[in-house]
Amino acid sequence: MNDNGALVRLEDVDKWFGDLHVLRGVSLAVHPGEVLVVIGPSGSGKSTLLRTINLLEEPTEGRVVFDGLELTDVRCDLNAARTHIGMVFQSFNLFPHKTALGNITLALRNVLGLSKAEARERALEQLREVGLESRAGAYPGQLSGGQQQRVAIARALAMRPKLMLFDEVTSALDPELVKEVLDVMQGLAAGGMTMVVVTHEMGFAREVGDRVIFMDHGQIVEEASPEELFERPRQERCRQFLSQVL
Amino acid sequence: MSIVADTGGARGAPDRGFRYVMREQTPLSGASALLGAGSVGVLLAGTLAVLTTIGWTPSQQLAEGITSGAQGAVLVTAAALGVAALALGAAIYRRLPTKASREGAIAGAVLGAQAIALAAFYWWFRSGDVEVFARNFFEFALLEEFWTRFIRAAWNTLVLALSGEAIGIGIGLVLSVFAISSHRVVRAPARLYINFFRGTPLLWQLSFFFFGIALGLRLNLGAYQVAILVLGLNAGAYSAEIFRAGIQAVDRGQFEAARSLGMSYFKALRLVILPQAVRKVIPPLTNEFVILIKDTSLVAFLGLTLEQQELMAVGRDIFSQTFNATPFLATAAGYLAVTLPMIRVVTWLERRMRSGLTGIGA
Repeated sequence: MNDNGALVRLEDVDKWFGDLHVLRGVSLAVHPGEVLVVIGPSGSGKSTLLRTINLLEEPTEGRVVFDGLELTDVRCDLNAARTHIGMVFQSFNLFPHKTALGNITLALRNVLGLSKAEARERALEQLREVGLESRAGAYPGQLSGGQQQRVAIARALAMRPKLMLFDEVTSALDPELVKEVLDVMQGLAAGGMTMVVVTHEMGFAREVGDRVIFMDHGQIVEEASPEELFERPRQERCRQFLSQVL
Repeated sequence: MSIVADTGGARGAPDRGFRYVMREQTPLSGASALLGAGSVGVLLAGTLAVLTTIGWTPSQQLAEGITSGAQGAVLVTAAALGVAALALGAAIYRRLPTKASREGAIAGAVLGAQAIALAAFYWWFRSGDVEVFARNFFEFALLEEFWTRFIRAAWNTLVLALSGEAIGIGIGLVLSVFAISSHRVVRAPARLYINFFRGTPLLWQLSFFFFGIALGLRLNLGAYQVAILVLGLNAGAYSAEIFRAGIQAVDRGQFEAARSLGMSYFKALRLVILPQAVRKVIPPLTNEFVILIKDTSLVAFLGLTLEQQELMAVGRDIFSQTFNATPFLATAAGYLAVTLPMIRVVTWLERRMRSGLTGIGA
């Protein structure tokens, strides 16, 4: 694969949790505007892989390069780099003591240093984009799961990131709320956002993904276009997994 | 009339002796509750009436009231009503059709039992030497000339406790952040401080800092200032543990979300973790504060000037002047006057914050 011009590059990344070898020499490149979908059985290391991209998990070995900056280099200003990498979590992780608006403005004010008015304006605009402008004053506890997740997406997007990471963002949602979140993500992909998506939503992977990676036992087992991977999986393990989830 | 029904056997299933007794329903639930409330009411109101009629002061008069025949009659009446309420409640419980009406029977029976217990205890108390007891503990006339000192003492207690708590919360917050550090060299001094102040008695700490350090080093500090400082240092150790538990109770995902937005470790702590931790620790922190209010009583041992005396010191002082223990009752009343409103305020605050509709701090 040609890595020139990649937005993210992982080079031979290894991750150990104590005696557990979670990532085994993973290399990967994500290009600007690309939607990369990561699938695989639970415990295969897909979430850990995603979390090494913004160094929420520090690789035991290997390099992570984002936008030409080596994040694994101790001299790198990680906090500044992270403002360009949005992340959305399975359990939303909204700040419960802040309103929807307050969740978004918190980092705008305290990390990006926007004025109160600027932050508010940008937050409202972002809430409008996910269809929740009317719930700006609501606390997370007053919102449905789908609404909370959309606020979480708006919170990440408000930083104007170059890359968005989605970690099984619909797994904690009631079935009828999944679509509203996937719709927001689909719109985002259509707008040209670079995304890495760990998901169990195979329909979404096929429809929105530009490229799909199948992981198992801490390794990338297969990597192909959605069509190819879902219609003609080459690896036995991948075939087996797909036959169980499709 | 009772109907005894025998189930099981009738349906051909093996009879394991399961029977139930259907009794006629009764409308007496309200009467039972009323009877119970009456027994307690007669006891309290009757006693109040008798003692007020005969007189609360001087103590001989009070002792006379307590041992009077009228008081005895009140006790016997209340106990009899109590027995009746208990019996009625027990008798009708299984004849009441709804849960709400059964509550009435339960209330009646329990109130009746309480009236019986109280009356019995009072009766036992009356059989002792009430006159000597009343002279020592119930000489209320004695308090008249001292009551302004108790007001000032309550104020001093409050100042000591509030200043101590303010210092304690400041120290506790900083220490708790040290205590959760992943670096052992940062954690170790915090642990040392916390364990020292939790592991030695407050009375020792007060003595050491006052007689040892303040007087020994000839620092220009009075007992009152040293007391505030030591109460703060001590409360700091306890609050640190409370805050540490609160911080660790905040979901890890909150920290990750904050870091993923580009916040530094300390920004995430200050803006995201601590505001949530503070909310979680309000109940244990209140508990700690109420304990601190009571701990201010130990300051009395340092020797305070008349203006600085808190509740315990005033109680002891007047006791040694008059050789009468009644001031200690006033001291207890003073502590309750300070602690009860505090508990109420914090309960209210806690409910408000728990509702999740409001943010605090940050």
